[in-house]
Amino acid sequence: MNNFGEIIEPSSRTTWEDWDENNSSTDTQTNLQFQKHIEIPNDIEIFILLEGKYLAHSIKQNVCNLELINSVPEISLKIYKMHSLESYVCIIYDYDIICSSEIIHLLEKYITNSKKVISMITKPLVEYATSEVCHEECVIRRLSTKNCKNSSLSKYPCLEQPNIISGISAGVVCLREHLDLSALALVFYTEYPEEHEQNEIHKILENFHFKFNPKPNGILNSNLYI
Amino acid sequence: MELKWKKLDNSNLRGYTAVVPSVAVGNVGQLACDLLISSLRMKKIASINSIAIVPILGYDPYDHNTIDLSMCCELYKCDEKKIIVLQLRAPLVYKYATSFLKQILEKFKESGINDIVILTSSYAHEKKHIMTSPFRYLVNEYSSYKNEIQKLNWTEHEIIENGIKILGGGFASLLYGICIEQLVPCLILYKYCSEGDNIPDAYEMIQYLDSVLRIFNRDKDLSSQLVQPISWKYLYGRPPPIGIY
Repeated sequence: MNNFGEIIEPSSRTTWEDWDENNSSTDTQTNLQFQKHIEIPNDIEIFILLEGKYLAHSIKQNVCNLELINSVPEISLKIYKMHSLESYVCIIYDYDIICSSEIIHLLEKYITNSKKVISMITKPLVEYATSEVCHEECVIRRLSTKNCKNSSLSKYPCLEQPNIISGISAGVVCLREHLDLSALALVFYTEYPEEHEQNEIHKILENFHFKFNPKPNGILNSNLYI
Repeated sequence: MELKWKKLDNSNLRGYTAVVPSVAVGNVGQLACDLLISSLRMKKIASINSIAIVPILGYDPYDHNTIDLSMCCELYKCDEKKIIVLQLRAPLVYKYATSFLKQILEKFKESGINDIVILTSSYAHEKKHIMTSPFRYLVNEYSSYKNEIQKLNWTEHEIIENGIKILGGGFASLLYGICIEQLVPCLILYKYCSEGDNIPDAYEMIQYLDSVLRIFNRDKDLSSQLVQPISWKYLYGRPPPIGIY
Protein backbone atom coordinates (compact mmCIF):
# COMPACT_ATOMS: atom_id res chain seq x y z
CA MET A 1 0.00 0.00 0.00
CA ASN A 2 1.27 3.44 -0.87
CA ASN A 3 0.92 6.68 1.08
CA PHE A 4 -1.12 9.63 -0.10
CA GLY A 5 0.80 11.56 -2.73
CA GLU A 6 3.45 8.89 -3.10
CA ILE A 7 4.36 8.16 -6.69
CA ILE A 8 4.78 4.48 -7.48
CA GLU A 9 6.23 3.62 -10.85
CA PRO A 10 4.66 0.59 -12.56
CA SER A 11 6.83 -2.49 -12.16
CA SER A 12 7.51 -2.74 -15.90
CA ARG A 13 9.66 0.38 -15.69
CA THR A 14 11.73 -0.62 -12.70
CA THR A 15 14.17 -2.61 -14.83
CA TRP A 16 15.06 0.38 -16.96
CA GLU A 17 17.95 2.67 -16.22
CA ASP A 18 17.57 6.10 -14.68
CA TRP A 19 18.21 8.60 -17.47
CA ASP A 20 17.51 11.61 -15.27
CA GLU A 21 20.47 11.07 -12.97
CA ASN A 22 24.02 11.41 -14.17
CA ASN A 23 24.80 7.76 -14.75
CA SER A 24 28.46 8.22 -15.56
CA SER A 25 29.39 5.25 -13.33
CA THR A 26 27.79 2.85 -15.81
CA ASP A 27 30.40 3.77 -18.43
CA THR A 28 33.07 2.09 -16.39
CA GLN A 29 31.16 -1.16 -15.89
CA THR A 30 33.15 -4.14 -17.02
CA ASN A 31 31.80 -6.05 -19.94
CA LEU A 32 30.66 -9.62 -19.46
CA GLN A 33 33.23 -12.27 -20.24
CA PHE A 34 33.41 -16.03 -20.51
CA GLN A 35 35.50 -17.78 -17.85
CA LYS A 36 37.66 -19.53 -20.44
CA HIS A 37 39.02 -18.53 -23.81
CA ILE A 38 38.12 -21.39 -26.10
CA GLU A 39 38.00 -21.75 -29.85
CA ILE A 40 34.46 -21.72 -31.24
CA PRO A 41 34.04 -24.06 -34.23
CA ASN A 42 33.07 -22.57 -37.59
CA ASP A 43 30.45 -25.17 -38.38
CA ILE A 44 28.16 -25.95 -35.48
CA GLU A 45 25.23 -28.17 -36.39
CA ILE A 46 22.68 -26.75 -33.92
CA PHE A 47 22.83 -24.04 -31.29
CA ILE A 48 20.10 -24.39 -28.68
CA LEU A 49 19.32 -21.67 -26.18
CA LEU A 50 17.25 -22.56 -23.12
CA GLU A 51 16.12 -19.53 -21.17
CA GLY A 52 14.38 -19.42 -17.82
CA LYS A 53 14.44 -21.20 -14.48
CA TYR A 54 12.07 -23.98 -15.49
CA LEU A 55 14.14 -25.10 -18.49
CA ALA A 56 17.44 -24.65 -16.65
CA HIS A 57 16.35 -26.67 -13.64
CA SER A 58 14.37 -29.43 -15.29
CA ILE A 59 17.20 -30.51 -17.58
CA LYS A 60 19.83 -32.88 -16.24
CA GLN A 61 23.09 -31.04 -16.77
CA ASN A 62 25.39 -33.61 -15.16
CA VAL A 63 25.12 -36.26 -17.83
CA CYS A 64 27.83 -37.63 -20.10
CA ASN A 65 26.11 -36.34 -23.22
CA LEU A 66 26.45 -32.73 -22.04
CA GLU A 67 29.94 -31.38 -21.48
CA LEU A 68 30.23 -28.02 -19.75
CA ILE A 69 32.70 -26.03 -21.81
CA ASN A 70 32.27 -22.45 -20.64
CA SER A 71 30.27 -20.19 -18.35
CA VAL A 72 29.60 -16.64 -17.19
CA PRO A 73 28.74 -17.05 -13.48
CA GLU A 74 27.46 -13.47 -12.95
CA ILE A 75 24.48 -14.15 -15.20
CA SER A 76 24.12 -17.94 -14.64
CA LEU A 77 25.06 -18.65 -18.23
CA LYS A 78 26.47 -22.05 -19.11
CA ILE A 79 27.55 -23.39 -22.48
CA TYR A 80 27.51 -27.15 -23.02
CA LYS A 81 28.64 -29.25 -25.90
CA MET A 82 26.14 -31.95 -26.73
CA HIS A 83 28.13 -34.81 -28.20
CA SER A 84 25.27 -36.85 -29.64
CA LEU A 85 24.04 -34.03 -31.90
CA GLU A 86 27.29 -32.12 -32.52
CA SER A 87 25.52 -29.16 -31.10
CA TYR A 88 26.00 -26.49 -28.45
CA VAL A 89 23.52 -25.72 -25.72
CA CYS A 90 23.36 -22.44 -23.83
CA ILE A 91 21.40 -22.35 -20.58
CA ILE A 92 20.66 -19.03 -18.92
CA TYR A 93 18.14 -18.01 -16.29
CA ASP A 94 19.24 -15.12 -14.13
CA TYR A 95 20.23 -11.94 -15.91
CA ASP A 96 19.29 -8.28 -16.12
CA ILE A 97 17.34 -7.64 -19.32
CA ILE A 98 19.42 -4.48 -19.88
CA CYS A 99 22.44 -6.78 -20.40
CA SER A 100 20.67 -8.88 -23.07
CA SER A 101 22.35 -7.17 -26.01
CA GLU A 102 25.78 -7.60 -24.38
CA ILE A 103 25.07 -11.30 -23.81
CA ILE A 104 24.05 -11.67 -27.46
CA HIS A 105 27.32 -9.98 -28.40
CA LEU A 106 29.14 -12.54 -26.23
CA LEU A 107 27.31 -15.44 -27.92
CA GLU A 108 27.59 -13.95 -31.42
CA LYS A 109 30.03 -16.54 -32.81
CA TYR A 110 27.90 -19.44 -31.59
CA ILE A 111 24.83 -17.82 -33.12
CA THR A 112 26.39 -17.00 -36.47
CA ASN A 113 28.49 -20.18 -36.87
CA SER A 114 25.56 -22.56 -36.46
CA LYS A 115 23.52 -24.12 -39.23
CA LYS A 116 20.39 -24.18 -37.09
CA VAL A 117 19.51 -21.99 -34.14
CA ILE A 118 16.65 -22.73 -31.76
CA SER A 119 15.77 -20.75 -28.68
CA MET A 120 13.22 -21.75 -26.06
CA ILE A 121 11.71 -19.64 -23.32
CA THR A 122 8.96 -20.09 -20.73
CA LYS A 123 6.56 -17.30 -19.81
CA PRO A 124 3.60 -17.18 -17.42
CA LEU A 125 0.30 -18.01 -19.13
CA VAL A 126 -1.29 -14.77 -17.84
CA GLU A 127 1.06 -12.82 -20.09
CA TYR A 128 -0.34 -14.50 -23.20
CA ALA A 129 -2.62 -11.92 -24.82
CA THR A 130 -5.56 -13.54 -26.59
CA SER A 131 -9.31 -13.09 -26.76
CA GLU A 132 -9.85 -16.84 -26.69
CA VAL A 133 -10.38 -18.72 -23.46
CA CYS A 134 -7.33 -20.89 -22.73
CA HIS A 135 -8.08 -24.31 -21.30
CA GLU A 136 -4.59 -25.64 -21.89
CA GLU A 137 -1.93 -25.74 -19.18
CA CYS A 138 0.75 -24.93 -21.72
CA VAL A 139 0.42 -22.85 -24.90
CA ILE A 140 3.29 -23.26 -27.34
CA ARG A 141 3.92 -20.61 -29.97
CA ARG A 142 6.68 -20.08 -32.51
CA LEU A 143 8.59 -17.16 -33.98
CA SER A 144 10.69 -18.00 -36.99
CA THR A 145 12.86 -16.12 -39.43
CA LYS A 146 11.99 -15.86 -43.11
CA ASN A 147 14.63 -18.42 -44.03
CA CYS A 148 13.47 -21.00 -41.51
CA LYS A 149 11.95 -23.84 -43.51
CA ASN A 150 11.18 -27.51 -43.00
CA SER A 151 11.73 -27.57 -39.28
CA SER A 152 9.77 -30.15 -37.31
CA LEU A 153 9.02 -27.33 -34.87
CA SER A 154 7.27 -25.32 -37.61
CA LYS A 155 4.08 -27.20 -36.80
CA TYR A 156 3.50 -24.93 -33.81
CA PRO A 157 1.36 -21.86 -34.52
CA CYS A 158 3.01 -18.45 -34.92
CA LEU A 159 2.95 -16.16 -31.91
CA GLU A 160 -0.02 -13.88 -32.49
CA GLN A 161 0.30 -10.10 -32.28
CA PRO A 162 0.49 -8.23 -29.96
CA ASN A 163 2.50 -10.87 -28.07
CA ILE A 164 6.24 -10.36 -28.13
CA ILE A 165 9.31 -11.81 -26.49
CA SER A 166 12.34 -9.92 -25.23
CA GLY A 167 15.81 -10.64 -23.91
CA ILE A 168 18.27 -13.32 -25.03
CA SER A 169 15.78 -15.59 -26.83
CA ALA A 170 14.58 -12.61 -28.84
CA GLY A 171 18.12 -11.37 -29.47
CA VAL A 172 19.28 -14.71 -30.86
CA VAL A 173 16.50 -14.78 -33.48
CA CYS A 174 16.85 -11.04 -34.22
CA LEU A 175 20.51 -11.46 -35.03
CA ARG A 176 19.86 -14.44 -37.32
CA GLU A 177 17.01 -12.61 -39.09
CA HIS A 178 19.30 -9.62 -39.53
CA LEU A 179 21.85 -11.85 -41.25
CA ASP A 180 19.18 -13.63 -43.35
CA LEU A 181 19.87 -16.92 -41.55
CA SER A 182 17.35 -19.38 -40.21
CA ALA A 183 16.30 -19.45 -36.56
CA LEU A 184 13.28 -20.39 -34.54
CA ALA A 185 12.09 -19.41 -31.08
CA LEU A 186 9.56 -21.45 -29.13
CA VAL A 187 7.62 -19.70 -26.40
CA PHE A 188 6.04 -21.89 -23.73
CA TYR A 189 3.27 -20.07 -21.90
CA THR A 190 2.62 -22.17 -18.82
CA GLU A 191 0.38 -21.76 -15.83
CA TYR A 192 3.04 -22.87 -13.37
CA PRO A 193 6.33 -22.06 -15.11
CA GLU A 194 8.55 -23.08 -12.23
CA GLU A 195 6.92 -25.97 -10.45
CA HIS A 196 4.98 -28.40 -12.60
CA GLU A 197 6.29 -31.00 -14.95
CA GLN A 198 5.25 -30.01 -18.45
CA ASN A 199 4.92 -33.07 -20.63
CA GLU A 200 4.64 -31.13 -23.87
CA ILE A 201 7.85 -29.25 -23.20
CA HIS A 202 9.61 -32.48 -22.22
CA LYS A 203 8.52 -34.16 -25.45
CA ILE A 204 10.08 -31.37 -27.49
CA LEU A 205 13.30 -31.43 -25.48
CA GLU A 206 13.56 -35.23 -25.71
CA ASN A 207 13.88 -34.86 -29.48
CA PHE A 208 17.10 -32.97 -28.77
CA HIS A 209 18.38 -35.80 -26.52
CA PHE A 210 17.88 -33.95 -23.22
CA LYS A 211 17.36 -35.92 -19.98
CA PHE A 212 15.30 -34.58 -17.09
CA ASN A 213 15.70 -34.13 -13.38
CA PRO A 214 13.05 -35.77 -11.21
CA LYS A 215 10.01 -33.65 -10.41
CA PRO A 216 10.94 -31.07 -7.73
CA ASN A 217 9.59 -31.57 -4.24
CA GLY A 218 6.68 -29.13 -4.05
CA ILE A 219 6.71 -29.05 -0.27
CA LEU A 220 9.93 -27.04 -0.29
CA ASN A 221 8.17 -24.27 -2.19
CA SER A 222 5.13 -24.34 0.03
CA ASN A 223 4.66 -21.99 2.92
CA LEU A 224 4.45 -24.87 5.39
CA TYR A 225 8.09 -25.28 6.32
CA ILE A 226 11.34 -23.41 5.80
CA MET B 1 30.14 -0.10 -31.00
CA GLU B 2 28.89 -0.49 -34.54
CA LEU B 3 25.32 -0.31 -35.82
CA LYS B 4 24.26 -3.12 -38.14
CA TRP B 5 21.83 -1.83 -40.74
CA LYS B 6 19.66 -4.12 -42.80
CA LYS B 7 18.30 -2.04 -45.65
CA LEU B 8 15.14 -3.21 -47.35
CA ASP B 9 14.90 -0.18 -49.62
CA ASN B 10 17.59 2.05 -51.13
CA SER B 11 15.39 4.99 -52.02
CA ASN B 12 16.49 8.59 -51.69
CA LEU B 13 15.56 10.30 -48.41
CA ARG B 14 16.67 13.80 -49.37
CA GLY B 15 14.43 16.43 -47.79
CA TYR B 16 12.62 14.01 -45.48
CA THR B 17 11.78 14.75 -41.85
CA ALA B 18 12.83 12.08 -39.36
CA VAL B 19 10.50 11.52 -36.41
CA VAL B 20 12.22 9.83 -33.48
CA PRO B 21 10.37 8.76 -30.31
CA SER B 22 12.26 8.80 -27.06
CA VAL B 23 11.36 5.97 -24.70
CA ALA B 24 9.78 7.97 -21.90
CA VAL B 25 6.90 8.24 -19.39
CA GLY B 26 3.87 6.35 -20.68
CA ASN B 27 5.67 5.60 -23.97
CA VAL B 28 3.78 8.52 -25.52
CA GLY B 29 6.34 9.16 -28.26
CA GLN B 30 6.38 5.51 -29.29
CA LEU B 31 2.57 5.28 -29.26
CA ALA B 32 2.37 8.42 -31.42
CA CYS B 33 4.86 6.90 -33.87
CA ASP B 34 2.83 3.69 -33.97
CA LEU B 35 -0.22 5.80 -34.88
CA LEU B 36 1.74 7.58 -37.61
CA ILE B 37 3.09 4.35 -39.11
CA SER B 38 -0.29 2.69 -39.04
CA SER B 39 -2.33 5.68 -40.27
CA LEU B 40 0.04 6.59 -43.12
CA ARG B 41 0.60 2.90 -43.97
CA MET B 42 4.32 3.56 -43.81
CA LYS B 43 6.72 1.11 -45.39
CA LYS B 44 9.52 -0.55 -43.43
CA ILE B 45 12.80 0.39 -45.11
CA ALA B 46 15.43 -0.81 -42.63
CA SER B 47 16.05 -2.51 -39.33
CA ILE B 48 18.93 -1.78 -37.01
CA ASN B 49 20.75 -4.21 -34.76
CA SER B 50 23.08 -2.92 -32.08
CA ILE B 51 24.45 -3.65 -28.62
CA ALA B 52 22.70 -0.42 -27.55
CA ILE B 53 19.26 -1.95 -28.03
CA VAL B 54 17.42 -4.39 -25.77
CA PRO B 55 16.20 -7.16 -28.11
CA ILE B 56 12.46 -7.46 -28.75
CA LEU B 57 10.82 -9.85 -31.20
CA GLY B 58 7.30 -10.36 -32.49
CA TYR B 59 5.39 -10.50 -35.74
CA ASP B 60 4.56 -7.31 -37.69
CA PRO B 61 2.57 -5.12 -35.28
CA TYR B 62 0.74 -3.35 -38.12
CA ASP B 63 -0.39 -6.32 -40.20
CA HIS B 64 -2.18 -9.45 -39.00
CA ASN B 65 -1.71 -11.37 -42.21
CA THR B 66 2.04 -11.52 -42.41
CA ILE B 67 4.86 -13.64 -41.13
CA ASP B 68 7.39 -10.80 -41.20
CA LEU B 69 9.25 -10.44 -37.94
CA SER B 70 9.42 -7.11 -36.22
CA MET B 71 12.36 -6.08 -34.08
CA CYS B 72 13.32 -3.42 -31.61
CA CYS B 73 14.56 -0.67 -33.92
CA GLU B 74 13.06 -0.18 -37.37
CA LEU B 75 12.86 2.63 -39.91
CA TYR B 76 9.60 3.38 -41.75
CA LYS B 77 8.93 5.88 -44.54
CA CYS B 78 6.05 7.65 -46.20
CA ASP B 79 7.00 9.04 -49.62
CA GLU B 80 3.87 11.13 -49.98
CA LYS B 81 4.47 13.09 -46.77
CA LYS B 82 8.29 12.88 -46.93
CA ILE B 83 8.49 11.50 -43.40
CA ILE B 84 10.52 8.71 -41.90
CA VAL B 85 9.95 7.26 -38.43
CA LEU B 86 12.63 5.52 -36.40
CA GLN B 87 10.44 3.32 -34.22
CA LEU B 88 12.03 1.99 -31.02
CA ARG B 89 10.27 -0.72 -29.05
CA ALA B 90 12.59 -0.82 -26.02
CA PRO B 91 14.80 1.66 -24.21
CA LEU B 92 18.41 2.16 -25.24
CA VAL B 93 21.19 0.87 -22.99
CA TYR B 94 22.44 4.04 -21.30
CA LYS B 95 26.17 3.47 -21.68
CA TYR B 96 25.90 2.90 -25.45
CA ALA B 97 23.20 5.51 -26.14
CA THR B 98 25.44 8.43 -27.13
CA SER B 99 27.37 6.39 -29.65
CA PHE B 100 24.14 4.84 -31.00
CA LEU B 101 22.44 8.21 -31.47
CA LYS B 102 25.53 9.79 -33.05
CA GLN B 103 25.70 7.00 -35.61
CA ILE B 104 21.98 7.24 -36.34
CA LEU B 105 22.31 10.98 -36.90
CA GLU B 106 25.37 10.46 -39.09
CA LYS B 107 23.36 8.07 -41.26
CA PHE B 108 20.45 10.51 -41.44
CA LYS B 109 22.81 13.28 -42.56
CA GLU B 110 24.36 11.01 -45.21
CA SER B 111 20.88 10.21 -46.53
CA GLY B 112 20.04 13.91 -46.82
CA ILE B 113 17.42 14.01 -44.06
CA ASN B 114 16.21 17.58 -43.64
CA ASP B 115 15.43 17.73 -39.93
CA ILE B 116 14.66 15.73 -36.80
CA VAL B 117 11.55 15.83 -34.64
CA ILE B 118 11.83 14.11 -31.25
CA LEU B 119 8.60 13.04 -29.55
CA THR B 120 8.78 12.43 -25.83
CA SER B 121 7.03 12.95 -22.49
CA SER B 122 7.80 14.12 -18.98
CA TYR B 123 6.41 13.31 -15.53
CA ALA B 124 3.07 15.05 -14.94
CA HIS B 125 4.22 16.07 -11.45
CA GLU B 126 7.09 18.07 -12.98
CA LYS B 127 4.67 20.54 -14.58
CA LYS B 128 5.11 23.75 -12.62
CA HIS B 129 2.51 26.04 -14.20
CA ILE B 130 -0.65 24.03 -13.84
CA MET B 131 -2.91 26.32 -15.87
CA THR B 132 -0.80 26.03 -19.01
CA SER B 133 -1.00 23.45 -21.80
CA PRO B 134 0.59 20.06 -20.96
CA PHE B 135 2.71 20.32 -24.12
CA ARG B 136 6.13 21.89 -24.35
CA TYR B 137 8.52 22.37 -27.23
CA LEU B 138 12.18 23.05 -27.74
CA VAL B 139 13.62 24.05 -31.07
CA ASN B 140 17.19 24.76 -32.11
CA GLU B 141 18.35 27.69 -34.18
CA TYR B 142 18.71 25.62 -37.36
CA SER B 143 15.08 24.53 -37.42
CA SER B 144 12.65 26.14 -39.84
CA TYR B 145 9.67 25.52 -37.53
CA LYS B 146 10.56 28.33 -35.13
CA ASN B 147 8.34 31.03 -36.70
CA GLU B 148 5.46 28.65 -37.29
CA ILE B 149 5.51 27.52 -33.63
CA GLN B 150 5.60 31.11 -32.39
CA LYS B 151 2.40 31.76 -34.36
CA LEU B 152 0.81 28.71 -32.72
CA ASN B 153 1.53 30.20 -29.32
CA TRP B 154 2.90 26.99 -27.80
CA THR B 155 4.68 27.04 -24.44
CA GLU B 156 8.43 26.74 -24.71
CA HIS B 157 10.45 24.41 -22.48
CA GLU B 158 12.13 26.32 -19.66
CA ILE B 159 15.87 25.97 -19.83
CA ILE B 160 17.38 25.84 -16.36
CA GLU B 161 21.04 26.73 -15.79
CA ASN B 162 22.25 23.09 -15.83
CA GLY B 163 21.27 22.63 -19.44
CA ILE B 164 18.32 20.92 -21.05
CA LYS B 165 16.58 18.46 -18.75
CA ILE B 166 13.30 16.76 -19.53
CA LEU B 167 12.69 14.58 -16.49
CA GLY B 168 11.37 11.17 -17.51
CA GLY B 169 12.01 12.08 -21.15
CA GLY B 170 14.63 9.40 -21.84
CA PHE B 171 17.28 10.22 -24.43
CA ALA B 172 15.44 13.26 -25.91
CA SER B 173 17.76 15.91 -24.47
CA LEU B 174 20.83 13.80 -25.33
CA LEU B 175 19.78 13.55 -29.00
CA TYR B 176 18.90 17.24 -29.04
CA GLY B 177 22.42 18.06 -27.83
CA ILE B 178 23.95 15.87 -30.55
CA CYS B 179 21.80 17.62 -33.17
CA ILE B 180 23.12 21.00 -32.00
CA GLU B 181 26.71 19.69 -32.14
CA GLN B 182 26.18 18.45 -35.68
CA LEU B 183 24.19 21.51 -36.84
CA VAL B 184 21.08 19.46 -37.55
CA PRO B 185 17.68 21.21 -37.32
CA CYS B 186 15.80 19.67 -34.41
CA LEU B 187 12.47 20.09 -32.64
CA ILE B 188 11.49 18.36 -29.39
CA LEU B 189 7.81 18.06 -28.64
CA TYR B 190 6.78 16.63 -25.28
CA LYS B 191 3.77 16.20 -23.04
CA TYR B 192 3.53 16.08 -19.26
CA CYS B 193 1.72 12.83 -18.43
CA SER B 194 1.61 9.84 -16.11
CA GLU B 195 1.79 6.12 -16.70
CA GLY B 196 -1.60 4.62 -17.48
CA ASP B 197 -3.74 4.53 -20.58
CA ASN B 198 -1.60 6.85 -22.71
CA ILE B 199 -3.47 6.37 -25.98
CA PRO B 200 -5.25 9.76 -25.65
CA ASP B 201 -1.83 11.38 -25.09
CA ALA B 202 -0.58 9.83 -28.33
CA TYR B 203 -3.58 11.20 -30.25
CA GLU B 204 -2.93 14.67 -28.84
CA MET B 205 0.74 14.36 -29.69
CA ILE B 206 -0.14 13.62 -33.31
CA GLN B 207 -2.44 16.63 -33.34
CA TYR B 208 0.42 18.87 -32.19
CA LEU B 209 2.84 17.27 -34.63
CA ASP B 210 0.36 17.77 -37.45
CA SER B 211 0.14 21.49 -36.73
CA VAL B 212 3.80 21.79 -37.69
CA LEU B 213 4.38 19.04 -40.23
CA ARG B 214 0.94 19.20 -41.90
CA ILE B 215 0.66 15.48 -42.41
CA PHE B 216 -3.10 14.93 -42.43
CA ASN B 217 -5.95 16.41 -44.42
CA ARG B 218 -7.14 19.64 -42.72
CA ASP B 219 -10.63 19.35 -44.25
CA LYS B 220 -11.37 16.16 -42.38
CA ASP B 221 -11.51 15.38 -38.69
CA LEU B 222 -8.03 14.31 -37.59
CA SER B 223 -9.09 11.44 -35.35
CA SER B 224 -11.06 9.90 -38.22
CA GLN B 225 -7.84 9.75 -40.22
CA LEU B 226 -5.87 7.97 -37.50
CA VAL B 227 -5.74 4.18 -37.55
CA GLN B 228 -4.76 2.30 -34.41
CA PRO B 229 -2.28 -0.52 -35.08
CA ILE B 230 -3.48 -4.06 -34.43
CA SER B 231 -0.76 -4.40 -31.79
CA TRP B 232 -2.77 -2.06 -29.54
CA LYS B 233 -5.31 -4.80 -28.98
CA TYR B 234 -5.02 -5.90 -25.32
CA LEU B 235 -2.58 -3.02 -24.71
CA TYR B 236 -3.90 -2.78 -21.18
CA GLY B 237 -4.59 -6.45 -20.54
CA ARG B 238 -6.83 -9.27 -21.71
CA PRO B 239 -10.61 -9.05 -21.56
CA PRO B 240 -12.09 -10.25 -18.26
CA PRO B 241 -12.65 -14.02 -18.02
CA ILE B 242 -16.20 -15.06 -19.00
CA GLY B 243 -16.42 -17.26 -15.92
CA ILE B 244 -16.72 -14.30 -13.57
CA TYR B 245 -20.20 -13.34 -14.86
